[in-house]
Amino acid sequence: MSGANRIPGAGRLTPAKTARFTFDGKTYTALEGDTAASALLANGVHLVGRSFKYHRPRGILSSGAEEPNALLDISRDSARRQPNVRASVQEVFDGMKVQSQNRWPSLSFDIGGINNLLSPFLAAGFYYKTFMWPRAAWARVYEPMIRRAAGLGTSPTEADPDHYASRFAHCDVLVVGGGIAGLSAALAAAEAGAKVMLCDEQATAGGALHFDASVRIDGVDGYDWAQCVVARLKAMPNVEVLTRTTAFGYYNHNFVALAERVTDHMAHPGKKLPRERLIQVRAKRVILATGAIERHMVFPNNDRPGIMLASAAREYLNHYGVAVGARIGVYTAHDSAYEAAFDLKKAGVSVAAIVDCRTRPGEAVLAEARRLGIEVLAGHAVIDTSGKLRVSSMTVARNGGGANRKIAIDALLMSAGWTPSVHMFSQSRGKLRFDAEGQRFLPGTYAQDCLSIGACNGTDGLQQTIEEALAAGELMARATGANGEGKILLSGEQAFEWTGGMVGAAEGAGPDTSAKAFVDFQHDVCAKDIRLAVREGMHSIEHIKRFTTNGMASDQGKLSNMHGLAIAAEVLDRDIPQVGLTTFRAPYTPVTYGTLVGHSRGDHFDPARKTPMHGWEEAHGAIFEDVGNWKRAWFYPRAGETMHQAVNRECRTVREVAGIFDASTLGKIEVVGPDAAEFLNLIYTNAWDTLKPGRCRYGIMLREDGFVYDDGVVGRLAEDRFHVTTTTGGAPRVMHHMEDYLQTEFPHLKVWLTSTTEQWAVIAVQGPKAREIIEPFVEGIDLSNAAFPHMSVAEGKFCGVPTRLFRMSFTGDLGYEINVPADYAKSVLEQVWARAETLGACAYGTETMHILRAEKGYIIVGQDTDGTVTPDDAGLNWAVSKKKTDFVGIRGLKRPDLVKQGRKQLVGLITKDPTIVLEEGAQIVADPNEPKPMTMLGHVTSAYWSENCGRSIAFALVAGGRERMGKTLYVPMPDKTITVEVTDMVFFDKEGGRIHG
Amino acid sequence: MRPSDISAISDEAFEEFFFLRDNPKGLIFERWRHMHGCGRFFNAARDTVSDKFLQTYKAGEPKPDIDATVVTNAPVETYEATEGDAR
Repeated sequence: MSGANRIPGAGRLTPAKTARFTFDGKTYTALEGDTAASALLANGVHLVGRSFKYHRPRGILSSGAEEPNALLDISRDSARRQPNVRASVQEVFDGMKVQSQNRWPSLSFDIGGINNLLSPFLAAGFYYKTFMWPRAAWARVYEPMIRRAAGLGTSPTEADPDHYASRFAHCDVLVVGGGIAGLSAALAAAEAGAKVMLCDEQATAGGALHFDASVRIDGVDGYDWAQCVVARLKAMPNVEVLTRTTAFGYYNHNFVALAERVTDHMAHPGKKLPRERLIQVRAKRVILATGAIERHMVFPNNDRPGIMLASAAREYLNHYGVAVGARIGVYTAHDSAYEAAFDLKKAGVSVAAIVDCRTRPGEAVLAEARRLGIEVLAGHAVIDTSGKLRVSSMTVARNGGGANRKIAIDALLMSAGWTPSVHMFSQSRGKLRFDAEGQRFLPGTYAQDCLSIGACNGTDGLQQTIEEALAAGELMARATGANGEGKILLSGEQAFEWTGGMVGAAEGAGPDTSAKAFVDFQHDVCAKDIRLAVREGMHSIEHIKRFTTNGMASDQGKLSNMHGLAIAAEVLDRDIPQVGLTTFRAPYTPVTYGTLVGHSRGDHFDPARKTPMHGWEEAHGAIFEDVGNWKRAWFYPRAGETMHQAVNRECRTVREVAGIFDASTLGKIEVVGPDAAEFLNLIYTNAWDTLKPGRCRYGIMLREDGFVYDDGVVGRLAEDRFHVTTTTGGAPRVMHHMEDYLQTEFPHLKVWLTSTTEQWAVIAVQGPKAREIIEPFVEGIDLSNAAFPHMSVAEGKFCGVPTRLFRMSFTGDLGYEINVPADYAKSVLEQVWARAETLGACAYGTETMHILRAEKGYIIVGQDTDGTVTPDDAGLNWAVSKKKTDFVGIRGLKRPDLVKQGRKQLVGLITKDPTIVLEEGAQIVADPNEPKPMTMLGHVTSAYWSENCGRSIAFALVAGGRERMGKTLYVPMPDKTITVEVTDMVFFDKEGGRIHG
Repeated sequence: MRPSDISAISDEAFEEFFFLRDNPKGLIFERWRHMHGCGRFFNAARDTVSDKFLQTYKAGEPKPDIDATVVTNAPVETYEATEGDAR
């Protein structure tokens, strides 16, 4: 038994295939293919939630993606839990756990219901005028209260264990929507030979055929025809059919994003399948067959459980076999609602009356109603309803006033007409036009290679829809070059041609009323709220929308936009198209984050880059720090050492004996070609033609505006070959910068650039014993001071493998950087370390590297510079060639602001109290007693405790710094002011002799 | 294009070259790079309202002759225009 309201013989589900689920702890039986909504209705459950603001009891309003009320918490297990799921979209799977939301302690008795009594104080925008006094209450009372009240569902607390997949697809024709129009178009396009993709958001294709059982196509029942077409399409090699797949975003160049729900309907999905799949489609042509969405009627108390869209009730009957009530009422402005009443009546459900606000309903449906013995009250309105947790009556009156009549009902079907779904068309940046006669927005002019067909194009009538679709399918297919022979002909019959429709507030909800006539159900926005917004001065539709929050919930105004617009237009006394529509934005319906993220999570979100020596460093106790995506050894603490102790030991050891350091992360670029030197001349400030093969030089690179962009040592291996190095963080940036100039500004130069950052591993050996350590391993290179002075490079062998050996130093002590192909790094390092360790050397990390270079006045681009520092500011004017006639930045350097007096210049700072280490970023002032705001002269860029100097050291950018040598300045901190003296940037070995050892 | 005698140009000319850009509603000529592919730089004529690429051409080639009126009269709306009168 799958519910007392299931009518035997009705619907398309199989009675034998049952599934059990719980709702708020109670177990129910459903049928395979049921949605949570149809299953609950089958079991007589209408009350499924409490509204957002007023906590009014709410039921199921629709049978589709537009559902604003029936938002449920669905879970498989404690980790697989999703809030705010539309009951009309979620298919039931055996074992599904469903919970209602936004109520306490229970759905039927909810304390929040008091909000409904307080509603006069909670009108639209009330929070703009409240929660202001007293100010102190904001942090401790108002904010916590609002946070608890906000939202409907509660977030899951466990990590999502499911995985999500991603696909890219190219096709000739993408058809969005698998109803009558979409299926016809797909068929025509496929038979014309195009590569076709067809997607539909529902579990089975058919669109309106799910509810409209009176349609016949080619003599066959409409829905059955649809399934046959799907089978036929799936059998064609040039067609892909995707169901449970929503096209949620239309981007430029016919790029459409689809979200396919793979396992949410399955009882036991298993681990292999992704939960959802993102399919990014680039289509040559797009056909939009997105249909239309029925509107509700705006009248007082139109939100009670049991009050729903007419086509929804019809779908619950014809597709799911469920009667939504025993005695139904209908309130309509459109003929289509009559067919819902007819189908229910024929299924044995009592129809109390059809209330039609039009004085002249369609002739055909009127006749049929009479024939079936259904009372029709034309020219009447439903002006109120009653019933607390379920609708129990409707109050009917003649238009314009008159005696009321209260009619007992347990369900009320409403239809104000159909709104063409132009969301995707709008997202494609097409221009809408307003069809005044139909009171609807339709596709106007297209911005992309796209066509709309069927209800979303305003095409009424079955045969017209079919013909329009077939023509469009063939047209688009041929436009992509398809030349298949197949031709499709179809003919359809429908029972009634529909007329009617209205937008805006119905009788009883007009400007002279204050009843709660809901426009936006999910955000509890009533007709009177929209009028209030206009009275408050909101005259543009965007302001009205944001003031009232109409259309801003997860249903994105699918039911409420047109009504809200019409009500606003009436109050503003303007035409609807003049008031305008708010922007349609992707996603069309909510998309799970997992689907968008795909595999970019955890370790894949931000991949960690490791050098080939990472494992060795780890094994030797290194603590790592992140430098961009790289993991770099920060320091190597020995047993019982704090970071300070480890770093101090490393600093001392390097200068007393030697240290081993991994410099592999720095960027390396191989610059090769007859014009290599000329190219580097243009990119750097230095002159490279004077650099002989076998020698290295420190180069600085500027931006065109004259500011320091990157730096690094460049070695010349031959006339036409340079080994360029960059900072770790700057490597990709510099490569891009060089390629930009080479390809677009200097394409005549014969030079090629290759990134070799990951190809060379770099082992730095620095300190007095550096030569002693590496000597036994070097082959083919004379390491004597005379033959291989500081800033040399040579090729040879190291530990038997090819090497580029650099004699260069970032510590200021005798130093080498051994470049070996990355695959050899680990074994080379092990051999070097074995020897180094016995000689008393240590491994050192980036912290020590920072301190030692600072002791010697070496800058770090990006730390001591920030993109606003010129070479002169940094004391590097010596590196700027005065002879070259052109290089990147040459003109920028001459700009008035860059040559003026008083610019911030890099200087050293020593604290009066040598034990105080300044804070990087701290501001510097001349007069510590100056009232605020103080004149800030600059800031501290680098600051360390220097074990080798026995005191703290620092660099700073200070206005007119070099003229302040020897002067006293101050660094104001929150708890004290620190006195400093401006000094030279070299703190250790001022003569610089150690590097030439 | 970067002036070939860039070191000699005036402050105004340098400002013009480096800092000032037109931001047209409609046809624009720009430099692009195929970052996730071949890494080559190229040029494109693009409509800034619809994002439609009208034509691409190699780095260094001169700007193609494109009827600007065709582009700016194209049936595409900015978001502002679609949202009606914001008075």
